[in-house]
Amino acid sequence: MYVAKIFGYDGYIEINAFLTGAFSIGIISGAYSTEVFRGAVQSINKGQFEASEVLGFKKKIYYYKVIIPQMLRLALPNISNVWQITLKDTSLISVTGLVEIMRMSYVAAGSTRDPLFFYSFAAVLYLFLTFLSMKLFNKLEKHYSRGY
Amino acid sequence: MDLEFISEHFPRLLKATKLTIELTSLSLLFGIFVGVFFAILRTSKNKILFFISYYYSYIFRGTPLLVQIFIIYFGLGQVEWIRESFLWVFLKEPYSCAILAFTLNTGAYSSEIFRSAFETINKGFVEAAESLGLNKKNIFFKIKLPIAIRQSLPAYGNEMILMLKGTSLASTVTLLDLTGVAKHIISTTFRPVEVFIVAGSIYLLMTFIIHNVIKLLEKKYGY
Repeated sequence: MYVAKIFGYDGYIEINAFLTGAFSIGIISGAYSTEVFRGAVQSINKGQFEASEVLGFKKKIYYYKVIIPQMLRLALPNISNVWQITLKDTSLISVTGLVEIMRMSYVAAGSTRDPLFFYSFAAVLYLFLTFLSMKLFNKLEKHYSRGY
Repeated sequence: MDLEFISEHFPRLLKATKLTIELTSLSLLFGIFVGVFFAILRTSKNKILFFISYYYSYIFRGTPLLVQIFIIYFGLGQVEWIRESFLWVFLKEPYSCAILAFTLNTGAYSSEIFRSAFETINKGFVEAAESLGLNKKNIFFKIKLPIAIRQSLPAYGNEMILMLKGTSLASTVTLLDLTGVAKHIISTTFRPVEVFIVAGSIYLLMTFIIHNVIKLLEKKYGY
């Protein structure tokens, strides 16, 4: 709205709640993952960089073929942590009025006056989601560490 | 940005920061005890104790803090026998509900941190202490605990910062902490940008302080 005012538009702008939510959570989890990827790249043996330079790879190719596959193996456990944090942070989006698990159970709890059941059910749903994603990440970890 | 507007509402936000600090420090303090307790249970050989501590940390780490606060504040009041018991004195207050939820949450996370810290202690240290004839209590307090504190410091610093940010959820159960007061000011003045920038920088300052204190402690305990 501030930006629009500079260009001479005084009306009210409604931004899509889903996009705002996805964007803000994306920025936060992006900040966490930056740290994770930085740590992973830094812990790769320096010899790997030097060897690929010696072999005459272009920077783009050696990053894709040499560094990233090794980095993913190191980063995956932490990325799965970040994923879990992000998954739970989505519950905060209910504050902006986007209808997701938390918002829906809030509405249901309010209209039926049975908050214990609906919030517990929401908790079970979140547990189920984290359980599924843990399984998935375990599989990915196995996939990327097959050389070791 | 309107500096006059900011300076007018700044004292109220600062006053609310007191409640945020209070919530954070109290729940971290209780959380340490809960965390150590469950970390010790986790290493026990009794299957039932292990089961309890495993699922405690699994459930509290697998669900969002917001859900936990809502279940404790809105949900527990629905159960008849809780309302009639002495617990109701605490559970009808949003303040103690928030502290209970934060404590259980941070306890689950810190139990994992402490457990991994205890597990990484070099067995040689414990064996050396045993052969020197120290009793179990002394081994725990003089050998295991200092090493575990050193090991868990970086991760626990993260947990402290996460908890500080987590207390902003106390505003959802009618508590007037920093976020709650910021929301209140916004609802009367309709100026979210300035208020949230000020509230955000207060949070940033607090995380900055925690971060540096942890860094100092790491240096002190480092070897």
